[in-house]
Amino acid sequence: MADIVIIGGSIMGSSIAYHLALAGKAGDICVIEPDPSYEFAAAPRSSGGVRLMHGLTENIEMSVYGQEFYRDFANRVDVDGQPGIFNFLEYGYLHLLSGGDEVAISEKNCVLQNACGASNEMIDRD
Amino acid sequence: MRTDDIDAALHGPQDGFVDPYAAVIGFRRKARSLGVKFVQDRVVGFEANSKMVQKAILETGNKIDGKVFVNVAGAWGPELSASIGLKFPVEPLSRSTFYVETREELETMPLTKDPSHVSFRQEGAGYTVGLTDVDVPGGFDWDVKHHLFDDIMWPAVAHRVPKFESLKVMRSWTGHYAYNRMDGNTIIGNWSGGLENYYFATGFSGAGLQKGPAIGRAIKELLLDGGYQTIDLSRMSYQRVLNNKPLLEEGFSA
Repeated sequence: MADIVIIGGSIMGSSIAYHLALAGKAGDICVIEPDPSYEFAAAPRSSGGVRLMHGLTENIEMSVYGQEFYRDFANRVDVDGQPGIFNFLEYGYLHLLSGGDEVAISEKNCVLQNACGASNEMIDRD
Repeated sequence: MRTDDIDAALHGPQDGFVDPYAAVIGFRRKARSLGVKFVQDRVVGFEANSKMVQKAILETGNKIDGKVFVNVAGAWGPELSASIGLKFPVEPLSRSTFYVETREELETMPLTKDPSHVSFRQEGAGYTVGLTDVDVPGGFDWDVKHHLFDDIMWPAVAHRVPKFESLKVMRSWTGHYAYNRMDGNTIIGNWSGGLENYYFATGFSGAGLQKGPAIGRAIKELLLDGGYQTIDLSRMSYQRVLNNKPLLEEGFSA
């Protein structure tokens, strides 16, 4: 018996559990995960990118929170005062564009991204 | 980097990447330290009445009662939802990634997405190179697509950065997107009008890791605060699937 049964304990399930636990619900949660070493889960096999380069406000805002969170991740997941070991590698993203349609879409997206807190820029070919 | 065939570029200086495994482990370790119980098992079905899911049925034969169920089983999630009659336009999509090293050291570069849709980024002493081929059938496929590397990815990166001509593939692997065939976007919320205590977040289509913190907070808000308090994700509910109204996004895709 658990008030909240979370099916899947990779990035989503663990983040949900974390946010609920910080709100005082830790004792009410059960996370069910068949692969606790995450050998086959999608997240560890991904490139781990965190970009503000999206075309919808919701997606940009979610990644703004993601960047803020991952920049401070080691402290946020501390256990008994011991921070985790974690780096946000801020190498930037570069989307190379070919053709007027692609350029126009990215110009429009860039304005939206910056309205949500990004400081992205269009670069002309030099 | 060769740019004579490029018209322009969008640069995101604050963007970057994290060790995704460390992110999962960090969240889990903290949640467990606060008292969250993690059980090793697989949910294979549910028991429900006409209004609510009552139990999750586990592979071991055990059942677990709950007041609320949240399906965030990634590429495995939609099949489980279908077993109780909730159909998502989401399926596993296999993607191969290659870790390569070059004979000559490369200068530091941002994660670069090429017009060929190939992307590459630094990884330790080398680079990872990836390509998402959405024109293949969905389903779990763990075979590494070496032909895609030889025919498309290597020529593309070597064209862009000539030092990649001397690359050597050190490692390769596959993973699976929970790929939303309708619009490539997140579907989050509860089964409104159906089994209303059944929640889900799916369809991240390769952009899940970066949305993990926000989705964790969003589900917490739905369950404890009566609705979204920070980012309003109501456009990303299941309703658009019922209405067949895609929430399309142009530009960079994973």
